Amino acid sequence: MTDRRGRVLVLIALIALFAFFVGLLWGSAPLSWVAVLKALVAPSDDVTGQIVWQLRAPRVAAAFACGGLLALAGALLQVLLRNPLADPYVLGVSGGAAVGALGAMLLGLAGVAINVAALAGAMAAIGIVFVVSYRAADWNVYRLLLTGVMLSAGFGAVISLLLSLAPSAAVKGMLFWLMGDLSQAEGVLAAWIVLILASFVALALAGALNVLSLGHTKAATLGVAVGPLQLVVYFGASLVTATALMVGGAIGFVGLVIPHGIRLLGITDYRYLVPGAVLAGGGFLVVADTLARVLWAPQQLPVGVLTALLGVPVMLVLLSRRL
Amino acid sequence: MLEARALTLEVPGRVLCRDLAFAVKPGECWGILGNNGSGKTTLVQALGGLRTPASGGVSLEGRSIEDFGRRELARRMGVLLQEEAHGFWGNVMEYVLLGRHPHARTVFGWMPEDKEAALAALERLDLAGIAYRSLNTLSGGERQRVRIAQLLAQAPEFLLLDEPLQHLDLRHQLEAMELLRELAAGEGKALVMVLHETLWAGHYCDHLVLLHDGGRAVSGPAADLFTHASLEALYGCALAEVGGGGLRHFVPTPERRVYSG
Repeated sequence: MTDRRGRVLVLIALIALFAFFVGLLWGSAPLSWVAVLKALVAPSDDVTGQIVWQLRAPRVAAAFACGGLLALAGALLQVLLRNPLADPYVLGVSGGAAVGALGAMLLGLAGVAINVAALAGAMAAIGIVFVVSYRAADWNVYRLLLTGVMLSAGFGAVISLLLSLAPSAAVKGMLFWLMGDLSQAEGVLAAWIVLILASFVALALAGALNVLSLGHTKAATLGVAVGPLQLVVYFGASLVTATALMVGGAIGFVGLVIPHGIRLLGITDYRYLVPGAVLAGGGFLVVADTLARVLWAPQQLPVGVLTALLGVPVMLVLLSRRL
Repeated sequence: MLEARALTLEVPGRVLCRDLAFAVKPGECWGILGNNGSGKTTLVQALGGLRTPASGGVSLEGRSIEDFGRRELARRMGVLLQEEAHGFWGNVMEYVLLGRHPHARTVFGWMPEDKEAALAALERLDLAGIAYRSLNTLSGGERQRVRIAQLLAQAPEFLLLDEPLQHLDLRHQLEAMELLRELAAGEGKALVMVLHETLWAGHYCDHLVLLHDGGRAVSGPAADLFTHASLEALYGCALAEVGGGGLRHFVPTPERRVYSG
């Protein structure tokens, strides 16, 4: 059993690496794979080097970090909320960020200001959900989930209001933010730092997360300090989600489905599930974003549309294979 | 030694037991008997440090249970819960291995002795053949035995079992009780279990806690408490004693008895 899980993990890592390379290879300017490899091994200042290192590599790196963050947040929230339908956005973090970002756009702000506003919105959502639902003695995950869902519904209404108030020229940019879009990706380095740190924390907690999936009382009898673990997972997953939102907007589907995809491959142990989800989520989003760049070139599609269009058939195949 | 000191347990609007005191020593097997809602599960949770009593306390080896860290406590005391949340996606072996969590020394993977303990526990419950089946595909009785196996893998000195026999067929009830007796008599563990069947309580428990409706609780040697009169008072219905093969068993009888002659 252990062997098989290790092999699956290595396979996922290889596929993610391959996706990375394809992301560098494909684009509006045709490059041969030899030229891309050369540019990778020996960076130079010619056109190929510039396309690979300055245009495509940051974009691919952003997509990978974003996908990894979303899949990690989804896996964490699914065990925290004891709900297979949980995704990174279920607790209203994306709604808060969207209200912040769209509000900033409506006020005519651009660039970093939008990100700052989105971050403020996300933090507000994280704070409100926590304050309303938290009880020190017994943090009921259903109250937490319902609080998040309610807040999301409220944010959804505000988002609709902002869209209807916005001048039509601004609406397209807003829709791209809402659907998820990596063409304006910023803060890629910060996203990678968060991804690596959060992955290590999640790996260190993986044993306790496995026990937590048995329920709070059972986890307590098996030596898990449930309250502190829940706090770490809630704030960790929220921070991870907020980071992904800063980079790529509200890209859907990755966070919900990638962890389940890994489970359907037979990996349920969080020691394997965490690295598997991070690698698969990152690789998956790189592929989706590359297609978003090249399918309609030179037009760019919002990547959030492609994650769903690609992911739904893959998940349906995996589901029918198992059941 | 696991000690309840002047333990008073309450749920909103009701006192379940008042000033209950008893001490469970290694090698002893205690049974908790009482009607539905009399506080059996609440008592198990209080003994396991999962619920704060209204007053009084629980101590393990003379030290208040609240002073133990969760992990430290879990190495010494294991709890078989009556109900467990669903949501575990893995197989039987992975589930039983989680019993080793309080003993885990590294963040990554299990040590060989963890795997040995899990395998031995599975074999003891005759489950080695389904070790790699998904937990979700098991029947209720199989799942109950898997949960007992997890408790064995945890290897605590003090075991609290809330209805260990639920969902088990007659043969597996017997095998489970024989196994639990072996744990107490043969391996010197201390057991406290919630039971409904007087047959098992009478034959396997050396001490009893009787939780009467209304908050009165009695504890002591089974020889004193396992009597026709005290059980009728406990359950609030007429009982008939049936016996044979040296076993005493009480079955409920309808109040309207038919007297001939």
